Amino acid sequence: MKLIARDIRKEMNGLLVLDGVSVQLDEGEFVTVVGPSGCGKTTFFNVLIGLATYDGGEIVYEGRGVENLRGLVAYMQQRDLLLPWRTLMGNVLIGPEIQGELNGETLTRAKELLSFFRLDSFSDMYPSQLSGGMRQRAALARTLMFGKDLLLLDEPLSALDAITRRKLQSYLLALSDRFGKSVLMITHDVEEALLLSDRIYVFSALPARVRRVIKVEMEKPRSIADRRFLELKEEILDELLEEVQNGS
Amino acid sequence: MDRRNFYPVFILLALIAVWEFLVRLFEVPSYILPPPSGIFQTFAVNFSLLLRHTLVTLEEILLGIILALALAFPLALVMFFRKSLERAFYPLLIASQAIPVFALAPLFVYWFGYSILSKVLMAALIVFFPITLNLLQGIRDADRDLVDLLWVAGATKWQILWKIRFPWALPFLFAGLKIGVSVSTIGAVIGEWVGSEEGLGYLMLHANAQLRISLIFASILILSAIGLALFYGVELLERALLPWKRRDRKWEEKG
Repeated sequence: MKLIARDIRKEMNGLLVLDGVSVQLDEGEFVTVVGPSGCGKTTFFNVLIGLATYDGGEIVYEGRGVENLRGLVAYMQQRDLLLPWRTLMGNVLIGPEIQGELNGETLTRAKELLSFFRLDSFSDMYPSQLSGGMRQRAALARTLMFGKDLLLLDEPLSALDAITRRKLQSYLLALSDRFGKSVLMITHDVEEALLLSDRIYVFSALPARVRRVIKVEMEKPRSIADRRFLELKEEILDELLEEVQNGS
Repeated sequence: MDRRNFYPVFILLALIAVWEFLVRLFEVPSYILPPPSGIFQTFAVNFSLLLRHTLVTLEEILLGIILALALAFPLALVMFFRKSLERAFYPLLIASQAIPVFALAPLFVYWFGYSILSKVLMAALIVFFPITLNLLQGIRDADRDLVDLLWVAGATKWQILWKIRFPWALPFLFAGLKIGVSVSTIGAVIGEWVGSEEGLGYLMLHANAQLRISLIFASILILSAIGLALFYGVELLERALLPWKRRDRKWEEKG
């Protein structure tokens, strides 16, 4: 097991937010978390990466208990968070830089990654000069350059328009398929979850519990018009709708 | 000349023309208000004298700015990292601005003498405040998510300071520096008024005693030129050092 989060509990201002959430992730697996908005998905992520404390439960990374995943994980958000004062290349190299591994090898890898994300001709440009899709691709390249096996993505494509989003989903797929990363991703887009995931955790409304775990056993790349795909999509949407109605 | 430069130059020339015209029309004596032509003549005649005193004042100002910068960085850092020290220093910082520099000038001259030191300190005192406050605010203001991003990746607080907070604070620093340098002349000149043997402030006092009003005007002109030059110098430096601030056309993706 790459990562096990077991029975995570958290209260915020006397309000129970995470009610014993357990999530696990296999080596090389792509796992998504879906849930009604405001259900505590991001809080769960913040607990995992150390940006928030928790009141109970344990986190196990590669078989050993850890306080949180700080320094073990590469993390990415909805906002691209590119440093505006650095060129794309400078942004992609921030990971090796803080790890003290800025050398010919990492430089070559950065160039390869930029070209994989079709950004090689923009590597000397500043983020403000680029479109949203390009910036998010650069953010993906940077996330990979942190050199971690485990990626935590918090709604990485939510800020993009539908078409750009569809195009970037194939890049997300490459994270596990091509680069062999283990990926844990939050999304509110059920279709996106079904396109990319090996397993899907459906969270309940606040306080968050795992309502259901769905194993998606279809070959990738998948088609959104597939019958099995549509059935699963209906099923998950029904569950979410039920949660929203219960919650409010 | 493009339109942007045309208006300021036009207004300036128009003002000079009106001034010249009115002085001649009402036959104002030149020991009350000299005409621009008289001032330019004084300029030409006393060029080497003015240049000598200008260089003195300019040196005081530049050293004052450097000193202010040298003090601002460590103080802003200390106040950022230690909340208790911030609480201790902040009121003092404000107080240093509440005291009029005019009141401090005699003390500085008394303590540090007629030498350049008292004037440098006066200039530094004025420049120091906006730089330090802006730098502190910029370091503090850095995007929380950017800081978190590097923190989660395992960066140390010094790496976060150097790679996120400092670059983030640079535009703030430049804003403070622009305010500071454009008033830096005040400190130096007041210092010279109170006690000195050279510099534009000294020259003005002497010209005043001898009713050489056009020489005072020439000095004032030079002082404003210094202020302007420093301001635009900082702006040029900012454009050179912060290339990402320049607004370019966005690249739209094709296909």
